[in-house]
Amino acid sequence: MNTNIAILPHTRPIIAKRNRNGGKLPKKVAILYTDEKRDDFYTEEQYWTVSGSKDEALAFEPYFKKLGIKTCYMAGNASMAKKLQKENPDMAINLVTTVKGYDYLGATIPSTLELLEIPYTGASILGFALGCNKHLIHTLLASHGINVPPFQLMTALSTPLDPTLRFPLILKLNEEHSNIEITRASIVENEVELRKRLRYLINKYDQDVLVSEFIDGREFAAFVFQSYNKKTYIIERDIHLPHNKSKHEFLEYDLVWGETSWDYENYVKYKKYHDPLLTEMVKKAFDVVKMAGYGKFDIRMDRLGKYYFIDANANCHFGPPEWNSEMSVTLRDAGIPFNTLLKRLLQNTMREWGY
Amino acid sequence: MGLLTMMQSNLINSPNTRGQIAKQNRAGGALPKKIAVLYTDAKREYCSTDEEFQTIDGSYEEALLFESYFQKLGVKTCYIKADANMTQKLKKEKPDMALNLVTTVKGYDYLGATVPAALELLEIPYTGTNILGFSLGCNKYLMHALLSQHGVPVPRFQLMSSKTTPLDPTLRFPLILKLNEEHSNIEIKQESVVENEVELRKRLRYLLRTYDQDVLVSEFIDGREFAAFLFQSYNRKVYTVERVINMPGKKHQFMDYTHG
Repeated sequence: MNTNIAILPHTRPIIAKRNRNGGKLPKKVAILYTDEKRDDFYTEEQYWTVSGSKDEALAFEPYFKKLGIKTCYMAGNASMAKKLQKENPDMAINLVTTVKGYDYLGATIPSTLELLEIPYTGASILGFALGCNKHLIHTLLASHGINVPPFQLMTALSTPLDPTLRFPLILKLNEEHSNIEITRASIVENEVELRKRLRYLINKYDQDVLVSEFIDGREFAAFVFQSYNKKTYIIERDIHLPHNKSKHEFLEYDLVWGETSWDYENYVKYKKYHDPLLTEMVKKAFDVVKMAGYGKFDIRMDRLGKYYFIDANANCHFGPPEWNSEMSVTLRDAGIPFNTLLKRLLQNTMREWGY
Repeated sequence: MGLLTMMQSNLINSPNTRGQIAKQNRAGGALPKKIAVLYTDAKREYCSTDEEFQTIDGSYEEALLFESYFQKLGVKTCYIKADANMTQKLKKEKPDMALNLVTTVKGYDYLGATVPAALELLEIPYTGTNILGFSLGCNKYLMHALLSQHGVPVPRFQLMSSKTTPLDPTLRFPLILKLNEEHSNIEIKQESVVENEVELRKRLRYLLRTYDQDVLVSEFIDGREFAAFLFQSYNRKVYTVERVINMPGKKHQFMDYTHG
């Protein structure tokens, strides 16, 4: 199975081979963050997921100071290329999740950096573009023997439902991350509910919808961090939704970004989780979907103990522990100081690019 | 549900940006006043081999061939090569749209995706595939996996990323070896079709050493060969031709590099 894993685009290893002395720290780093303009987003809900991006980027500053590295901060937009040429950084940290309100345009950031030959953290053009299409990610994982729930893409209100799918089903926007439109209404028990939800999503977002079987059971988040080797950190999310009358427990938008997010810690508890089999599956999935640097997978386990990969995020929230993002908390709990983590990421990126 | 309906229901739409922009500007369909014709920056030092260079040599002259047709249509043109200065030039020229003829950037096919990416950022309408389509299209292995997953038949295949990658025992000879990220028939020769594992290992060693790139190994299909061209206007039109290839004295007939 390993023989079928598609490796990263071949430019980086070639460059790395030419410059084997690598691994030194950069002198100047550009931190690229999402340009948050309310006009770029359809809904308040979407906007909330990027609001505060610049402040979050600035939280890196004390860590770079400790490392003696100069910084410059830039929004991910059409002026970025010119600014990068002017600032001339040794590398870039790509924290951009969306450009002009479209997640898939995030791929324009690695693309600009490739053209300017600036080493950068995170996924390549292909990895980024793939990561913004849940249907493609599901298809690829499935074709590599990684278990995903049975799924179907619905592109119109009248798309016939695949009769082999079994209720309950969950409906997700095909090109959105950050739990957007994941609410209790996302899980449907019959075709009437499904058509109602589908109509709402297509009318509001004009976007394809991924319909997949909802896996009742336990939920996990797996983070992969790539240095010389890939390290995997898995946590179990013990979720108890507030005022939940249904039997389904999952991470909904409100809990992460909405009103109930203030009480997040009361409703979601984290536990370290270890299963060598899942660790191997996660490492393989990381390669299959072309992630680089770091990434996150959401996984559920059914009552029979079978794992299902339900989502992949090549550009998950990466930042200092002050952010309280799942990744920073998980790594902190695993005993890895953020300073060390940042240093490893910088060195590894520079090494990959041959510096 | 029939196979065709199933396949259609699972097809991926274009990224939703274009649809949205089109809705906002319903006046559409007017001819552009000025077009940027983008062509491959053909430099020998970008290419691993002469063979590779030959496939892009003359890109500028090919782009200029469009000039007389644009003149007839009364459309102004500017010609820009795809390199790191392209964005600045596009900003200066301010074309209404771009004709993307770029096949490779800095010698790497997959970096061709940087062209639609720059055009998306500058909000310049362009012809051809988008970022995802371009980057996927430069990875034969992903293409095979996706087509196969959607019920479109492909020969059985395997990706080999090192000289020691074990051969999938379910694959049946003859096999054909192709560079995973190259187009234009590069390294498609008679030696590409192998009849046994000794020949396979020899060819694999050569390709990995010369190009430092993964190799797609698939079953070679002896028989007839077709090329299908799809042209998308209001509807999709498909034009199919059969390639009748006759290479005297050759056991397997196929389009090799010398035909390109």
